[in-house]
Amino acid sequence: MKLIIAGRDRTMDIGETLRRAAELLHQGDSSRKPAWIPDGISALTLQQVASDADYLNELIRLMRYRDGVDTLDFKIPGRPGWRGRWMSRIKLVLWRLLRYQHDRIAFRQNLINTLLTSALEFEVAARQKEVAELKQRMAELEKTGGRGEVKIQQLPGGEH
Amino acid sequence: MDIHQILAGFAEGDAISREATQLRDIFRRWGYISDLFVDTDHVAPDLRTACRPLGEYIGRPGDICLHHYGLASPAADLFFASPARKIIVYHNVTPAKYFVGIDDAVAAQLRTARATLPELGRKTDAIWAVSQFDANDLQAAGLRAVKVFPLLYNPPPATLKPDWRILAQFAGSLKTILFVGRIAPNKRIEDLIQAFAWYHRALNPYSRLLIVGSPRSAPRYFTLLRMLAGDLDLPNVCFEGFASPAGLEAYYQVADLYVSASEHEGYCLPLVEAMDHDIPVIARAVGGTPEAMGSGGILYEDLKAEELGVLMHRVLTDSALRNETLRSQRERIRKLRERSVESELKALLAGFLT
Repeated sequence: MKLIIAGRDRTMDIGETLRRAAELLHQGDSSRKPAWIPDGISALTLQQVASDADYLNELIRLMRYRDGVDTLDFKIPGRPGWRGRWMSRIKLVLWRLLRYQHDRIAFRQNLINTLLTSALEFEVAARQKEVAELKQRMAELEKTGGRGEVKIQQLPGGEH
Repeated sequence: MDIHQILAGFAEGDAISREATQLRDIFRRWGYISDLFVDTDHVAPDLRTACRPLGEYIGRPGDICLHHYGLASPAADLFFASPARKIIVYHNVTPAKYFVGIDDAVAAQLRTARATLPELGRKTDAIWAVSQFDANDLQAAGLRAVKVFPLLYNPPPATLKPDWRILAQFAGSLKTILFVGRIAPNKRIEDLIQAFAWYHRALNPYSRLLIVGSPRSAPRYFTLLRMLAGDLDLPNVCFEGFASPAGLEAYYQVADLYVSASEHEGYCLPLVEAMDHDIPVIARAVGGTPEAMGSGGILYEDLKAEELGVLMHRVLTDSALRNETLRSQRERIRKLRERSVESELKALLAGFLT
């Protein structure tokens, strides 16, 4: 760690207090920490891809884990003081009243999201199969110099 | 003798476009014919009258031609082919590694641009770099006679009114953290979002992060960031897209703190703009960033996300630290405003104008 404030190196004083405060955050209440996403399905795995094509495949894989609208409870933040407490309670009551409608809408939205992700997966698979077939056909044509019959090898799931 | 400039693109708010416009105005004031020639495919429709198409450029041996270089482009090819005396203004080439998988075509363009660097000395009459960091980059590529001409800062005109809709949208008591810049992978906006996640969850839920900048140059990276904000359950991360000058003015007015986690910058003008708006600035000390900041603001290296989150909180709540930071920034801005651009330019062009 290095910290320069107003042109002066403050690593040893302010930097050290930051480090200690950050450690305390780690030890604190889990509801006050950022949501934790396992490495294999984190959005940051998109940084590891090697090409544009890999990116698309990885994105669709990650979408599978994210096509549902979350209907879980969540912590409603409250400001200090009696007004803050009252506002929190009002928000809590409103959330309970709206919960049924919210879950119903979420169910329908999840259905649409899942169907869309599936459609996208099918579309990408179909395009990949088509490209593989075209590449094979081109390779055969190049071998025969553009003459004669070209036999296409049946790819899994192909319909010729 | 004419002094023209060739650019790969032209956009409102873009640092290179603003510098080129400022230089053109100076050359015209000195009595030269001076225009900006730009690839029309990369000019916003409402700005087409502010510049001329590349096809209209005719270079003559006695002329001077400047090219702002950061990417291999048709504009660069036209510049190198010009019979005029050529000056390249180097704005740094982003390392291609940042764009692999995000945009392979851009990665290839950046690789080409970097591979071309050693040839710049042979193809041009002078090389200017917009920071010492950029000059070192060129020297590492084997170029010797590189002069430093720091990126120009042109403060917004006093008549510029902030966009009232943005002021109204972000009014209220939430602490607002701002980042301005292209949504590009070298900016490491994912680090900023993760630091904000700690600040927002653990220290101040009444806060928001505004990310202002066009996502067009790296839409796949933008998708990654949106997904990350969703993963971390951060509805208060607001991707605001491109901002007009009035919009940008409004974002600076509503901001309480400016933070940049960018990992590669040739200079980074938004840091200077934020300092000029009297907003405390925290930036990663990399590339040309320390030169842009001078001895103003807060520079960091190797901070974990949670440590950066704590630093944000400290600057926003510790009035002594905040005042010390702001004082240093005001001093930096005073020095920048006192800069004598025309005499610097005359000295750099000494061998060309006689």
